[in-house]
Amino acid sequence: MGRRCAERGHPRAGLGRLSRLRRLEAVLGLALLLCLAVAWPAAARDVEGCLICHGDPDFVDTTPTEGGPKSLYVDSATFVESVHGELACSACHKGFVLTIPQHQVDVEKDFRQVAIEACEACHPDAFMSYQTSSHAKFYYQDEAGPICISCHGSHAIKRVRLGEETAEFKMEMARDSCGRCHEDYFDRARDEFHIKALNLGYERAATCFDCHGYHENLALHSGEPETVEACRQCHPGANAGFTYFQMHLEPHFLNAWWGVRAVYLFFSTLLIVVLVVGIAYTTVHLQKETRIILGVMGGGLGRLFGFIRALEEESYRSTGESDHEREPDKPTRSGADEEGGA
Amino acid sequence: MAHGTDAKDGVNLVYHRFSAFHRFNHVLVMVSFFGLVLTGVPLKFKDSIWAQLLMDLMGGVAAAGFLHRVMAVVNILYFILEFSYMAWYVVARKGPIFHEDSIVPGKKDWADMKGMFRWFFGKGQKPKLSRFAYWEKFDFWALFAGTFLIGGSGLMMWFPEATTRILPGVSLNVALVIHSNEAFLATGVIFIFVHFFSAHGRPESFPADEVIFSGYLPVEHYISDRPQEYENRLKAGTLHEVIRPAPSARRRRLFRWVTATATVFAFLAASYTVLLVLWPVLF
Repeated sequence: MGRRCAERGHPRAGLGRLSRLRRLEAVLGLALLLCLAVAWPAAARDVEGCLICHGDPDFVDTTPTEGGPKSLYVDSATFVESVHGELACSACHKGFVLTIPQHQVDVEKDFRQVAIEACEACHPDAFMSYQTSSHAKFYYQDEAGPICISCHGSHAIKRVRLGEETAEFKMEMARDSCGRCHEDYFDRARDEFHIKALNLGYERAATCFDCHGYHENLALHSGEPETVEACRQCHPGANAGFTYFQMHLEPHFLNAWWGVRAVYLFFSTLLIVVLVVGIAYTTVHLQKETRIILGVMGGGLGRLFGFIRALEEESYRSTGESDHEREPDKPTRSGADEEGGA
Repeated sequence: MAHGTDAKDGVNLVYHRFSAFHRFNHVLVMVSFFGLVLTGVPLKFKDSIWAQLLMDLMGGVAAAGFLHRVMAVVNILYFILEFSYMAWYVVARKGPIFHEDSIVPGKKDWADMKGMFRWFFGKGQKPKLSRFAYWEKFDFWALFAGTFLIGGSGLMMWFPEATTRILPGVSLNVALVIHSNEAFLATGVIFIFVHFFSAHGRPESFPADEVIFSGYLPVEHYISDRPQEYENRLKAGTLHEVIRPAPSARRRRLFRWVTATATVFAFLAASYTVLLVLWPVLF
């Protein structure tokens, strides 16, 4: 019986081993498929093979420059997540030919011009707004002026639904886009109630571009119609007088209207004076009350003080100090006792 | 010990110090003031770790802003009520205005203050206080002026469009400065060093003076605490106006509970305010 079992058992065991192998194959195959499925979108978009070189984190421009070698790496994972993740590289990098690195003299200019044209191709309205902005004026005067990608970035532009931005996102945009060049304004704006509320999570509060526009980059001077319009987006009843509210003030209102500075100075002084007088008065009152309380509780505490005093005297004696030097201490104690009686 | 808290069966007469109207007003101020501080202060100390925590606890900036406005309405209600009362008091000649026992500061307050300082340093007897001590007058008028300034500037910022129809926009900058500074002054200084200590923290009333909730205190406490008013009333023969039979045991118990609740509330608020005052000093 045992043999039969063994006979029957043998092929069964073989079958088991075989199926285990197959299972392993199947699992491996599935894993491979899964890997492919995950990697596929990225791979599929790189039909031009750009990431063969640009997907390498160590890929740099070897041309000697001031700031060291310039990285030419593109993080494909971030790009795939971005709003442009579906596009091929050459959708934006128009006219890219492998020879471009050889035009070293004009490469930066070419690149910036191509970058603007690339954005314009799909976003003509935004481009038209940009054309009238001070950023554009700066750019057309000087190559260093900001273009689309200066604020928006390039490969990591996020997918956002307009009007549904979170407070964190708005703060991040203000800091990373506007704050990168307008550092001083950004720092000062942090003390302004709009940004304060935004910083604490109120997503409806205005940040830089809510007033200055996303692409128009209005200068917004007090009393001008465009400033009134900017304020009216949130404050529908705003008039010209409304726009004389001073924004972007330095700490301690150093650059504010003198009236604001005077009021600030007055109230700060008042605050300090009342604080100091208040603390001093309370302390003086408290010492009196404490002495009364200690006087009432005299019994137990008196014994404790007596003990401490005995220790002190002991230490005086050991250092050989004369008695009359510590005589001024004595009236204090007897004085406290009298308070208690009063 | 607190006045009236341990009124024994033998005590059958009390001194009636505050009317229901004044006690009600005190509750209005108390509730609205702490509500306003709690909801307003995270904006001032936006960089502190507790600002975000507090905002989240209150349900976000929008919720805190709404609460702040609700509390502002309560605070303004106090101001209107108190102002109307004072106007009526003056117009209807309800009582003396320039008198030792009125709320208007006078010569005696200066003398009392000097007397108190002598007493602090063990150089004299405690001065005989009248109906309102000088620190109580300071408390009252500082709060009254503060409410006007903070409330006025707050209303300006609540309705900026209406404000700028009359004043230039820079007035809102001024309003913001006044609101922020004066609120900090009121919170940190008046309500810790002056009001909380002088009115409730002194050994004779610690931890809270029940009289502002119950309205009365035992006659013997009254005579020792406000000897000048007692003397004045004795001379003028108006003592009967303020001396009343003691309330029932049930009412006394009720007031004790109200006071205890308010005390817990006030101690939390005081600790919070100490934190507020210390914050800019330490960080």
